[in-house]
Amino acid sequence: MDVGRSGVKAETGTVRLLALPVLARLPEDPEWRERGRLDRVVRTNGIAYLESWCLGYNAEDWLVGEHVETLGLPGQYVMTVTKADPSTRLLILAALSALGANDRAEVCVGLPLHQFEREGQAMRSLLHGEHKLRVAGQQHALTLLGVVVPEGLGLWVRAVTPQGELPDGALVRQPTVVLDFGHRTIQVGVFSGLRLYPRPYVSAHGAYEIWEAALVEALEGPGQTVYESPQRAAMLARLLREEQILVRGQQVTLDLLRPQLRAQAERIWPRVREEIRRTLEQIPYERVVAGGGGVHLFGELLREFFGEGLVVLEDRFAQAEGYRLFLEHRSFFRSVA
Amino acid sequence: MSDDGGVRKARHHLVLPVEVWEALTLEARQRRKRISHVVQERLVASLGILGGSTLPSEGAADLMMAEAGKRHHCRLAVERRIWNRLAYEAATRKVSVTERIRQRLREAVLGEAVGTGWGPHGELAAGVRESRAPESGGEPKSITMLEL
Repeated sequence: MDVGRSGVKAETGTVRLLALPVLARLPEDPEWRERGRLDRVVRTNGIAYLESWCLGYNAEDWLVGEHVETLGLPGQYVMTVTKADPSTRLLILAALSALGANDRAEVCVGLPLHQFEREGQAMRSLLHGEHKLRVAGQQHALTLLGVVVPEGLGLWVRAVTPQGELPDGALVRQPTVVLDFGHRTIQVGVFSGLRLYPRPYVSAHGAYEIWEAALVEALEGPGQTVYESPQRAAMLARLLREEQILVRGQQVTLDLLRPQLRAQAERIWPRVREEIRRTLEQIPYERVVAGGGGVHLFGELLREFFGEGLVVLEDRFAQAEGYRLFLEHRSFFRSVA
Repeated sequence: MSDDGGVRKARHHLVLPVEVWEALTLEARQRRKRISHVVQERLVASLGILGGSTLPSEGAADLMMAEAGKRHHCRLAVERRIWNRLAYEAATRKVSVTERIRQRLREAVLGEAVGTGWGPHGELAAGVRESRAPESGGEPKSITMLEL
């Protein structure tokens, strides 16, 4: 389970699920509960999009997904770097229940590298044990098993499992730089087996700045930010899924945005490059892996910097898939490392 | 400050480091925006509030800002809730609000980590803008795996 700020990505080996991480408390007023179906999962191109999912938890009903915006509910769109909080727990439980987990689920969850020791413990406390849920009018007691790990581990696992089945022991032992270009952050960690070089770099200047700057400029002109953040998030989600959106009669396409995206990425690249260079000083890495939803924005720039040996994981689900592979091959990783 | 906790009438003189001021004015020029607009955006993004617009609303703070040793200045209006957040952060750190804004802008513009400690939803953990690597690599350590 890759709980990102642009999307919650879950991967089971057979199913891929994507949800916009927007939450809203469902009001008691029955009028809100009768505005059409609240559990909406749309399957497109092999991905199950969680447009909305109603989840009862702790005596409250929550709605998760971009339909929150369509309904006009006051949505929470958490954009803090840290994730060890009740909102993340709700997003994880919503995704698991939408995948049909009713009584028991094994899950691998990643948290940012920054202050992982402390935040990881907090997330573990939030997820550990049994959770009483209400889904589609039914009560469930869902017990969570699994592990909380630092983000980037999923990308690393995916990269040392080239065929997506069995990890390659030789690759596992290679000191590997993992660049995670997320929506909210850019993270750089160096993995060596199941070890991590200390104090990796985390920047909160993530892809959202590039995307939102380009999108808002296309809609409103330079420098405007009239749309609320959940609205922008919902617009981005639709744009990525359908490659075009219509806002107040104005059509924006991915093709239209590409030049602006590139220009924005080039604008912040010198700073990102400098931080990467500084982070990697005196670290004897042998391999470089880049992934995350924002990696396509920096792909060419990264290739110029690292050369052709760079491994780019463009699949948005690579991290989630890596987490799943880690659960499946945990004993192998421990034995090799 | 006004009675309701706002800062409608207040003026706070905020002196910024030259490099911060220059970066903000450069960005404002490039984007053809007022510097106050750029600062609003930087503050909002730095706070990680999002979910709210950067459009100033009635009852906003009125700040004076000036480059150290020079006369440039601008007025900055921010939403009341943004001001309240900054005031809260300042109070918990026992610094003035202008000092907290200065820290936030340094963080946003120069990438200096100042830490936060308060999230947008009260009980939620706060974010941080940046965490820098050490000067040298050091030895790798075992990854902490937290079993559920």
